[in-house]
Amino acid sequence: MFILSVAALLATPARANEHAPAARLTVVPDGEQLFDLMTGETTLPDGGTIIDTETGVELRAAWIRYVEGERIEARDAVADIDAGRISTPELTIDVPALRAEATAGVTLEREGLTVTADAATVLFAPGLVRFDAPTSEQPLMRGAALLLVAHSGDAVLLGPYAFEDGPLTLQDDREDARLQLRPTRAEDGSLRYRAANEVDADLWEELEPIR
Amino acid sequence: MTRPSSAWTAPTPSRRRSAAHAAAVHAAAWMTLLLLAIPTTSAFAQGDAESPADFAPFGAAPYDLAPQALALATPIGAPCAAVGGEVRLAGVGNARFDRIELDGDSGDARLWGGVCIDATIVGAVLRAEEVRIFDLEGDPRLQVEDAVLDLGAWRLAVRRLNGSVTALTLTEVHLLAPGLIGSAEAGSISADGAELSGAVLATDAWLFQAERITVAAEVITLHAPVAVPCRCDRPRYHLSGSEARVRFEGGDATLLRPALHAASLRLPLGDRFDLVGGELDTAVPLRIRADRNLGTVVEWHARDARGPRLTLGTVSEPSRGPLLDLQIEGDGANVRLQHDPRGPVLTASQRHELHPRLAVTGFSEANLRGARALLRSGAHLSASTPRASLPLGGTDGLVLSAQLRATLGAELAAEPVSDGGLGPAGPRFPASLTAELRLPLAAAGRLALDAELEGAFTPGTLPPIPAEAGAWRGSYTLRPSYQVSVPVAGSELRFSAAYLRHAPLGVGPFAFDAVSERSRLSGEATLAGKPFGVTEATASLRAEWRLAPEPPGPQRLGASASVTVPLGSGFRLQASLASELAGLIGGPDGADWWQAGLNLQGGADLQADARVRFGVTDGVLRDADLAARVPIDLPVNANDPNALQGVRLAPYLAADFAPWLRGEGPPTLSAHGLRVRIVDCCGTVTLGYLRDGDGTAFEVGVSLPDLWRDGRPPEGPVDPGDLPEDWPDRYGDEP
Repeated sequence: MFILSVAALLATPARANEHAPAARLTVVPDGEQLFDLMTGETTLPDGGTIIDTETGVELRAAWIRYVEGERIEARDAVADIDAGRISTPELTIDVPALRAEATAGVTLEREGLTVTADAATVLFAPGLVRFDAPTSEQPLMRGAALLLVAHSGDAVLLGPYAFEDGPLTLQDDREDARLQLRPTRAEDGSLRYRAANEVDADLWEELEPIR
Repeated sequence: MTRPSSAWTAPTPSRRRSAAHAAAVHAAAWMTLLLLAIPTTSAFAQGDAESPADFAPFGAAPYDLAPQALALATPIGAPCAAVGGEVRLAGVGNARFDRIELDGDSGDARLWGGVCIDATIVGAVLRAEEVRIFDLEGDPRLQVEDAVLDLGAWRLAVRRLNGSVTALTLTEVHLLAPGLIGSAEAGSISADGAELSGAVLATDAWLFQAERITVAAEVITLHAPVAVPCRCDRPRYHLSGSEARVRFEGGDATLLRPALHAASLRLPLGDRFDLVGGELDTAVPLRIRADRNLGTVVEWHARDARGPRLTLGTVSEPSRGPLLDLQIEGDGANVRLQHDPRGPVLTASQRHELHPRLAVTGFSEANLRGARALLRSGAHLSASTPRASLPLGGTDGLVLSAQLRATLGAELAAEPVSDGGLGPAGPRFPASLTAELRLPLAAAGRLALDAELEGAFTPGTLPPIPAEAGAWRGSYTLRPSYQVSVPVAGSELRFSAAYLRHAPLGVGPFAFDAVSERSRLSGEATLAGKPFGVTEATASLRAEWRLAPEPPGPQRLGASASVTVPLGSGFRLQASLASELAGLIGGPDGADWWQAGLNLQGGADLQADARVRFGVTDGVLRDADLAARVPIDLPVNANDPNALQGVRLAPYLAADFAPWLRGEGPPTLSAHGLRVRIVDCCGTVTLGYLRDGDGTAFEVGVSLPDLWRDGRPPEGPVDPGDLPEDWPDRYGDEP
């Protein structure tokens, strides 16, 4: 088994600077791996698993190609991150920027939230995810975009949006409309949301990188 | 949020509107009932008689609409503005808002900032600054403070609103509509409608109090209402009923099974009472009138729009006796029984429409008045053509319009005489044909011709037809006429002329269808305009001349003129001059006579007037009347709103100077009268009498006061300066 360490995933910038990237990642191919001496690219045509040994982030894909310390490309990928489990046909990770892009559709699953979107942007360092044209069955909603804070689950749905909770359906057709969603734990242990069409200033500032 | 001050205040006498807008005076109204009820209705003075002093219409709720004043700017029924955030509550409706918080855990929601809910489940639009919804997962409940609820054509301003969205409870309700304001202690609203309790409603002229009110789209129904015609503290009289229905726009109302309460008496008024504006738009049950044949008639009407109409009364001529008039109508049937000292008359008819222009009418008539009574029964078939237009060609495009009507009948008729003898009786077959021709000549006027040919065949009678009569009789009528209107120097000259020819064709056995000969030429010319700018003037000449072969009779000529001059400050002076000349010319020897009359009348809105009249017969001055009416105001205490606000006496005197002018003696008093107008907190009462050569006439009327309201009107333009800068735009498209 060929083991190669690459850039850290979902680590804070400080941590990324403190530790050598090669020491944090483990690549486990499911089959053969091809190394291109001219470009420095390594391809796992049978897929494999990339594990961040420090954060525990695990990326599994049916096809992977990466350049050490620069980027990772994956197809039919599933990644477990702080925000939940992301599934996408195509995923590109910019290793130095600690940024991932899913442009061919994406699904996020986490407790109390399942979102499907046309595209997604993940900023690993601050732990933020932006979904474009998201739709969700739990809770039932759709919007122009959904901004998600990975560690808290706080989210903001950007308009035009519609959000349904029980017998209530909130919708706003204005492009500058926003709906803040904050998860709360119900007495039965299930996760519900508090919705408000005025966003907390702190949250809005925290989401600034993906707005 | 700041709110402009607005208050609905009680009226003061000085604020009352002009008489033009006040309720019109009715000749027989409240005071008639009062005056006549007191001595005659002790039988009614029992049971639920309610002392007017116990009725306090303003104890229910204050007229304080300040909390909802801003929302009044939105027109009633305006939908929620289609902007901003929207929340849809399944099965309830949609809401617009500025801000919303929804707690999925607790199932609570809070909407605020110009919240507008289109609550389709109860058919209402609710507006409030903040709305809280609880138990979203179960049976959602609303809690709202200071809400404005548009329900159909009505607006409810509610202090508190809470409960299930399908059955809301209302507290401290004010009800608004054009011309109407009201308040209620509490209420409820559901898909079945809205109901208010402990309610008071006020229109421009009426105050209603009811234990319960139901609000529907266009009609408010008050159950067990009490109505007073003023906002006085202690009404002297009021109305009650089983139900009152107040309609949108103007607050017109209908009171069912009404009763009048006054001086501890209760007087039923029939089945319904229409209260339109400040007027009593109803046939007042009791009426005193003068009748040419029956003298003074006192009538009591029991009227129901869908039931029989009954009139009971007494008459003075030809002898004192009872009066009865009962009429039942419905589905083309009409039965009427009339009785007075002259005798009874019973008529009945039933019309069946076979086609819009073809109908059969069966009828029976028993007229036992007079020396020769009449009994008839039969059926008529009548038909008419549509009005046809026949182009006559020519450059003017003349079009002749025409319509024909025809009738065929079969009947039995009898004319028994009053002494018990037999008159003619037998079958009778009438027929008639009527034609109307109209020819407009554009600016040259209009020609018209009315013609009728009618007749009847009587094959035989018992006793037999006398020799001077025949089996056939008939008549024809021709009436050509012409009328034109011509502008003359800024005025208008209207001229009309007509000739009437009505002649019998044979004589039948029955007297009732005898025809009088007529041959008359008549004409009239009227010039009307404003010859001196604002001064209105009218002058007219009339003539009616009998021609052979009509038997000799009086020929008539007449002329009149009037001038109306505005005096400023709303006063107008009207002077009129009229003269009539009538005489029998060319009659039997020694029967010729002529008579002339002259009337001169002047007056103004001050109710002062004067009249001069001269009458000459055969060259001898018979009448020379001088009459005048001068109003006198009595001093009152105008500072006490519950005291009389004004008393005006207007005596009327007329003297005949003819005997004095003829040197036969001093002038004589030919007529006298008095009109008293009393203004108090509950309206204006007018009482009067006039005694002249024709008898004595009485006048009784009531004019009802208006209610005044101050502050922002329910509708109309709003000064944007009155609104705060942060006024949310969700209340409507034009807040």
